Amino acid sequence: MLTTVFEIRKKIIEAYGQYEYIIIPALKFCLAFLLILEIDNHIGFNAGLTNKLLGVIIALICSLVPVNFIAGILMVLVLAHLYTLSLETMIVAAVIFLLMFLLYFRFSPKDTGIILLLPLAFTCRIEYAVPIAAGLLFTPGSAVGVAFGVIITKYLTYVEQNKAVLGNSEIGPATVDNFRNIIDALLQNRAMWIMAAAFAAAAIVVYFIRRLETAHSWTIAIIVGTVVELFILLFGDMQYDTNIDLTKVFIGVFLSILVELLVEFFCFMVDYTRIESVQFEDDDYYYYVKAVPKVTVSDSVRTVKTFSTSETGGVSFRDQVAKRLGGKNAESEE
Amino acid sequence: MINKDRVRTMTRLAIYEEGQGVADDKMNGYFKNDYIVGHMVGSFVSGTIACLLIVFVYCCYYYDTLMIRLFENDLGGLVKTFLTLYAAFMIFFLAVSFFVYFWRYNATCGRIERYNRRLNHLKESYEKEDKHADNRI
Repeated sequence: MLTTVFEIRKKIIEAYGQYEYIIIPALKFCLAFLLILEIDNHIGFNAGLTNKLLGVIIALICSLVPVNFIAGILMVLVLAHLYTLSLETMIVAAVIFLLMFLLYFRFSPKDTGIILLLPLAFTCRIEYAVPIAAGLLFTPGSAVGVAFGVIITKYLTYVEQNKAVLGNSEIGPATVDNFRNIIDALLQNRAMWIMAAAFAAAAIVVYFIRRLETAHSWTIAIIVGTVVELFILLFGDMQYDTNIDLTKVFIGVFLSILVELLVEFFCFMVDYTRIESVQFEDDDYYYYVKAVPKVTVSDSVRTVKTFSTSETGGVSFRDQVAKRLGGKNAESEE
Repeated sequence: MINKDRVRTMTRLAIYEEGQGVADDKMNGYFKNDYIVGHMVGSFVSGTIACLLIVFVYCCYYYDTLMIRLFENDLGGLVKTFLTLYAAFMIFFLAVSFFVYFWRYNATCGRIERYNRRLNHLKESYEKEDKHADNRI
């Protein structure tokens, strides 16, 4: 059973390696299209931009460009929708996006994927998996990206929930009041700040634990990271009364653990039962090396031969075998 | 017969050349100081723009109060506070930038060194084979 699972894993990885040139653009297309659908469903204030055909065209463009460009294109789309609602919402979103690019993506441009995945993860209720996956696969700096992702998602949720109020203003003194209300709502959203802190802390903790030399470090990192997330969320709820729905949190955490184990299965599958410790030296150093073998399965070669009476000139397979065995016996007797 | 060790080395070299090697090659064109200073100038510009954005948000938020203080010509203290906060933020941000780019340059040097070692290993392997062939002749 386990061997079959490992064989499937190997085949998936091999297929990915073989058809990478198709799979990566296809994944980018799916990611961009799903995000465009999300944007249209939640903050699709500009009717002209919610056209499905336009969405497909944008997703197709996104499939051909690097992930950072996808983030840029989708952010422009978000800003266009928000501008349709009100200038203030657009300005606040633009400031958040610009701060993120200027202060964070300057150092870590490869982490843009986290920001893109987080809104989708929130929809699928697996948001708790993102910081842990970030800690497992990226650097501790990804904690900042995760925190920004939470802020952006929660801000857009706030805009969606208050669109009636936010969309009711005209340029003038009301604009400043509206702007002030948005900033207040953003700064006083304790649930958002606690979640951002929990996710950032989990990403950092996971990174440092998975780098430890202990056996099963990835699994331990997943468990500890999840505990850290839960602890900070529950502590924040008790301290600041954020009214989190515990049932939803536990379901989310359970689903997230499954996703994290899947990440571990594909990215870090080693056999801790066959650890080898070797010791050797050269002119300058003594080396104490612990080698943990990766789980590998050899290809099971199955050759199926078909025999039919028509192919063997009317002689049945059983007769052929009997004839060959007879011949061999005769040779050996000679 | 296929030399497995050589194939392995060549594959690793090719993976590096087509992946991380491209970025590393670009970075390798700089001296360490030029690279770090260049990026820190970029960080200074980014940090300054970020601060201006925050000031813009602050001005929009406290629009009424600021207008009153402007008419009363009472902005000196506020400007001083802004400049102090700006200086503190920039010192922190530039320090982070310095460490990030310093570490990144060193990591790149390590990778290039490893790449060169593999290249030498490959070269030695070919030379050994040639020598062996000459001896047989």
